[in-house]
Amino acid sequence: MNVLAQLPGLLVVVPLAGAAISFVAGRRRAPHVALATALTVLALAVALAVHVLDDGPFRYQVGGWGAPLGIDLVADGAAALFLVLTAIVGLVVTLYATAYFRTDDETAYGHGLFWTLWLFMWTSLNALFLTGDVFNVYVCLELVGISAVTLVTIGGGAEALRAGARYLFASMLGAMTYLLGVALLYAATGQLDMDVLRTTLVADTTAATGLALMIAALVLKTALVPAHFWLPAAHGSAPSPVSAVLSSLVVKGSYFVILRLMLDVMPADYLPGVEIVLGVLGSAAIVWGSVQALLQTRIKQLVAYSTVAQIGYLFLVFPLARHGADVLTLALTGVLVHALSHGLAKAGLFLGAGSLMTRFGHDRIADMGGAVRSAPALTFGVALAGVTMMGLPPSGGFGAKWLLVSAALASGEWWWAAVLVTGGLLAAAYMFRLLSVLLKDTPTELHASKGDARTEWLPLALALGAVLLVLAIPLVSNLAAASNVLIHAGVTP
Amino acid sequence: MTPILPAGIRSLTFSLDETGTPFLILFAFLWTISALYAFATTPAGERARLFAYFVPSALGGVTVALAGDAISFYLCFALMAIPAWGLITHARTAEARRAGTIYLTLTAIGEALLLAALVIMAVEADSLALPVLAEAIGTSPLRDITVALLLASIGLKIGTLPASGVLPLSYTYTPAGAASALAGASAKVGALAMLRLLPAGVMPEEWSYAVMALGMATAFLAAILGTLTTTPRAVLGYSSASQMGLILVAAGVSLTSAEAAPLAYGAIVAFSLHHGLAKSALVLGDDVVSRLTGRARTAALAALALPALALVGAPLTSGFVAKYALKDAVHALHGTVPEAVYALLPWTAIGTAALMLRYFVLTRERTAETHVSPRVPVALWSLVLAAVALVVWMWPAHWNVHAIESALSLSSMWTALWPGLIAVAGWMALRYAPRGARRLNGIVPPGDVLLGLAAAVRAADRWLAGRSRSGGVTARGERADIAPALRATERSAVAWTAASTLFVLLVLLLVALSTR
Amino acid sequence: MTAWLPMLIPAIAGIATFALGESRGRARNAVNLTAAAMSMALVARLVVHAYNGTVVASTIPMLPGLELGMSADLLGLLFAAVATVLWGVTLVYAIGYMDHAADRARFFGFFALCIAAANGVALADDPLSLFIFYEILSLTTYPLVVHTGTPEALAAGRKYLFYALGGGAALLVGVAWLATIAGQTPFTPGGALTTVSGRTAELRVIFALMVAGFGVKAALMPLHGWLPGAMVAPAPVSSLLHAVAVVKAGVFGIIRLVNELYGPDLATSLGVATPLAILAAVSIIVASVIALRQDDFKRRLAYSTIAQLSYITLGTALCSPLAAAGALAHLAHHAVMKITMFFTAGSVYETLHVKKVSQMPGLARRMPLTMASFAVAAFALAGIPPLVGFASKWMLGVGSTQGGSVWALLVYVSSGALALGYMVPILTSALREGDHAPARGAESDPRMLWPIVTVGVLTVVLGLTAGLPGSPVHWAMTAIAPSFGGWTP
Repeated sequence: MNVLAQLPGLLVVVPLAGAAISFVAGRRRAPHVALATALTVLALAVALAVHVLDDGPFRYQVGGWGAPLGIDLVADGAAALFLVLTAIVGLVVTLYATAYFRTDDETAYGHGLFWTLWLFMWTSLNALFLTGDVFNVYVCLELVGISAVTLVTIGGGAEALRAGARYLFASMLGAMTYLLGVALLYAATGQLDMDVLRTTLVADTTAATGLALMIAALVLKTALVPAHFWLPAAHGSAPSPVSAVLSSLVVKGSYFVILRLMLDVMPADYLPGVEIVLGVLGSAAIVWGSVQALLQTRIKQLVAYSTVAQIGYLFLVFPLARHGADVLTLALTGVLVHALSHGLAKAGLFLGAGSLMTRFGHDRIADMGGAVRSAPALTFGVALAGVTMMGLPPSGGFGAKWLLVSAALASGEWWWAAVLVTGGLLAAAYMFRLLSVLLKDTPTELHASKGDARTEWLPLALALGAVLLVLAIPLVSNLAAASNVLIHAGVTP
Repeated sequence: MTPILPAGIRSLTFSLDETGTPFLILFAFLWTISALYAFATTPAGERARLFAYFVPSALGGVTVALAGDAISFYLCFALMAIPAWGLITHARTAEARRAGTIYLTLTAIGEALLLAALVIMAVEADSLALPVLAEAIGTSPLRDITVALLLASIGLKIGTLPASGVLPLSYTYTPAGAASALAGASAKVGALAMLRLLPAGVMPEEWSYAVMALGMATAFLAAILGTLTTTPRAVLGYSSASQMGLILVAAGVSLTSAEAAPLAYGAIVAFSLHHGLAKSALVLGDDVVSRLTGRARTAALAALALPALALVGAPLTSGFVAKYALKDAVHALHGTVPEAVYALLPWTAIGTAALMLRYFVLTRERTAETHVSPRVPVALWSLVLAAVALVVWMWPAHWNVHAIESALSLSSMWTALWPGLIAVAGWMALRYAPRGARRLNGIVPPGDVLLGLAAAVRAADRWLAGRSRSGGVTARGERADIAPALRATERSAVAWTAASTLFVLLVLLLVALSTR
Repeated sequence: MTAWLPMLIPAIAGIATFALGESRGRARNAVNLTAAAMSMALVARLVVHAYNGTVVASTIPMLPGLELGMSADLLGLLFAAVATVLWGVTLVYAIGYMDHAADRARFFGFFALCIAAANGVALADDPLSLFIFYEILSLTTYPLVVHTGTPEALAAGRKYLFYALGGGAALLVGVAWLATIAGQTPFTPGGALTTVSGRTAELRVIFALMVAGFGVKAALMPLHGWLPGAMVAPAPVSSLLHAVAVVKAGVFGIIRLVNELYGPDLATSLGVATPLAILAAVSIIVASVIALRQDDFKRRLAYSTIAQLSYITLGTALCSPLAAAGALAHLAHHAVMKITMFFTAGSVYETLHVKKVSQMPGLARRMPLTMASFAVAAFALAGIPPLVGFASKWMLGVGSTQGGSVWALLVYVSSGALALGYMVPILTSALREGDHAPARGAESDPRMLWPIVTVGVLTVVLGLTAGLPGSPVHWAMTAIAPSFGGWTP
């Protein structure tokens, strides 16, 4: 059997094994296990991406059963992209966590569990990106949700618990709604496999209602405005490595499912008007999230609201997709680049925020003056991540903005371009509000002892990755071409 | 590369031609005399400061007569005019500084106008050579605007109304040596510009008439202002403005009539030479007088009569010849306006005579300063006086032979004399004038309306400054703080109940869309 | 690859500066000066190539269907040469100026990155590449503007960003829109939009968007608000902002836009050139008048910059060959003049803490060489022959007249008079007797003094040699000629 064909399975199995081993390895050895797992998964993800680029999408049947009975994993270009992103961010976060959750800090409650939970969440995420079955999506979402909620509360503290409770509520509400939708869909069609659904779906109120419920649930999970109520609290009060993962990866998981449902599974106009609603909500998210980010006084809240805003961009692909293959290609490539660049930059930003908080001992933006002098690389990292958030060249964010703006202008619906541009400016406003404080000339006594080099350089590394992504856009473009969406839309032969 | 482009310093041409020669002689003579005079009369400690400005100004002031192309002409013009600011403000008093500022402002405007005209002329001629420029502009569609620019620029230089205050301002505070150069040479560059740049015989008559009328008005009004001003130097300044008004009349003649143009040019050259020397002698004169005492002072005061009479145009003086040349030129034109101007010309001499009387009185009143040896100043002054006396006999005859010949006829002598007599008679009568009229004495400060203008600009500036300060405050105050409202909205949106409601609404919306 | 080097060398120098850190000052200076020298040599070589008709160019794929391209043509090299040469001069000055300042690694690092971005703008071969470097320039300038970290600096930085990023957004939309209409459009003398037919309304909007984008850095009124505020930056930064990189990137963008993207013919027939010209003319006059009223030395210079930049914009917008060439030449000429002035402002502040014109009495005796250099530059700025400013003003004036726009000529000459009006009071104030006693020994740090004298002398030398082959004037005419096919200077 071809080893490459096993890659999807390995991408689920390896982190799962890592989670298990780290659980039994004890809190001193767990970090090493996690690192080894992360490196392996990165290698596997890259191999998968290369394979997809070479040979196109393929299916992997777990246990060889095949649809509709067995579990099928689908590896296409878009999935490969998200897997690689997860692997890169995962590796960096793991490295960062080895400095953040110090093994010699006995008082830290629950830190030993971090590694297991984190690898388990990684497993579920990988499965979510690969699964080709709407019910398995539900399972993966649940697994991701439970591990995420636990991770949010891992640091203890009243605020984290409150946030966790809110997150749990959202997670459950979403899962239940999704399940209801799946049930309706299954009742109407008798199918759960996405590929089968794509070819068999016919106009039917029950099926449509089911899909609408699924999308609403996924919107909640993705924290699209106005269903973003849980995100700032959860992302803002979790330990920083967790925030990074939640913001940069977890919301992308549910988004990826929406992407597949909207653009691949459902025929055009299956849910008429929904794409417009999603686009409008996306626009609202961009504006509202940015404005709220601008108003925050605490650093992680700012970054969290930035996520609320950045998620909005991802939804602009849906209204644009109606305008023909060329625009669809531009827009899809755009959102994929955006997902990547936001993933890298936002992780970098949360890690950077965490480093700043450990150095200053608090999270008040106003009192973070003078950071540039004591932690220049860290400040620079935050700034670079900000550049991507704003969508300024040279950065992946710029590539995404360019592609989306081009798509909007080519579609003739120029107002999406206006939203994009406004969003970039608002992002600049909240990022520079932070940066101008960091650049302020105030001699501040920093808690330099907590300044592990890793916590200073890793955010910079992620931000640099987000910036250099601009050079990899041709590659992303090829992966987008190898995605099922474009293949089924007839763009890619 | 066509010659239209400035090829830098290499492309500058300097040459001596028929027009330039009398001006070169005049400028070189006056700037040399004034340099020596200034050197002799300036305290050693201030010489460096004075000559830092004097040297470039003199350099520009002399070489401008040699300038053969538009750029070198502009360069010399600027080189002379701008550093002159340092001469005017040399005294470092507030008035001197104010005078310097006004002078420089007008100079900057004049330079700008000149540059604009030169650019247009260069483009129209596709050349930079001065003789070609004036010719080409005559047939250009941009003729009118160019001539207007030139006239405005020249007008500022020679103190035409309403800028007649510029000359008194630039003479009054300047040290005597430097002032004599400004009085004698500087304004004459305007006359040179008329000859070099104004097109001859191409303009409509109305243009010509307007210019002549302006010249006449300046001649009369400046004389009136001058008699009412305060210092001898200011009187001389207004006198210059008045005389330059007459030169402008000649320029007006040349604009419209090609036949009369040579006559007018002759008059301009004659007037420039005559007025340059005489005015320089007068400016030095009051300084010389102030350095002398006793009989020497009386002798000097008496010697002032020579340039004064020349200015009035008394028979056998240079002024007489110059004025005759001017009358001849105006006479060559026909029409109501030229004839009226012709008739009024002798009357301008009344004003000049009155100015000279006023100057004489004020000079006589000057207190003596005897701390510097007057020997060198007196010697230099004598040289200028000699030039004033002799210049009429060294006239470049071909300009206007007729003028010299007629200088000897009786009737013309009478024409030259009566205005002076009227002025003297008026002067006598003034003794019996009511007290109120005498109070007019000295009510015109040197600079007249220009001072008012400058004050208005300063007031506007202060007003603007006050306005912008208060404007800034309101702008900041008006920025309403919407942040609390936005924060509150978000707080209620993420509250449990609201959030759940919103989600349910979203679900309902999507379901509604799907079941449509 | 060679085409990338003028951008890459300063960029590498900048990164190396960061890497060296704060403490290794000698190494930092050596790296930067070496990089400047290398860039100058490289640009000189490229210029020789370009004069011989070989344009070194290179592209890399970037976005789908669009490439990032660099091309060392004469037009771009003029700007690159200005940026590079003045970088070298400013480095020496800045080393002196920042002698006792903190955070020098950050300062010199971003300084080099700015130059890299400016060179990128200069040599960018198409609107997208130009836009990318234009935005990088905005970003790398920000840390310099807020360098001191004071509240005023931060406020100025905020304002700068507000304008710069707003303009950048407009530019982005313009460039993207154009790309959707016309695809890859490498700059071509005379216009690159030959494939686009019709769509005049769209082309007008795109032009307006791009002008709004470039206009921010070109400080075209009413987009100029950031410039006076950005004066709080250290003097070398002001010099860089005003004379060398940032503002010139804006006007250079307009030059590319009018001459090599739309082309003078299309810009005229679309009717977009004249409104731009009018806007520039208004900027010239209004900014000059405002400059008259500034007591703060650097603010006065800032408004002067606004006016002078609009000289370039106006000259370009007139779409007349000689005016366009004059505009390009003025880009170089103004750089030399204005950098002299900002160096002076920095030097008098650093040496005597003089910030206002009204504090200057005595300065001429205290710092004679500095103020003499300033005086030369001031007269040059007012367009007094034979100094450098006259050459470009003459070209601009002659070009306007040839193009039938006598009104533009009048604007130029009025502005010259106004320039005298706002420059001379600085000189007269410095010449008055005042508190500053004549210096014992050197008048200021020689590392500040000699760069000032150098650029001051340059304003004379470039003026005297303006007609010679190889001078900026000649260079500009050669570079602009292809945009007006058939025009031979």
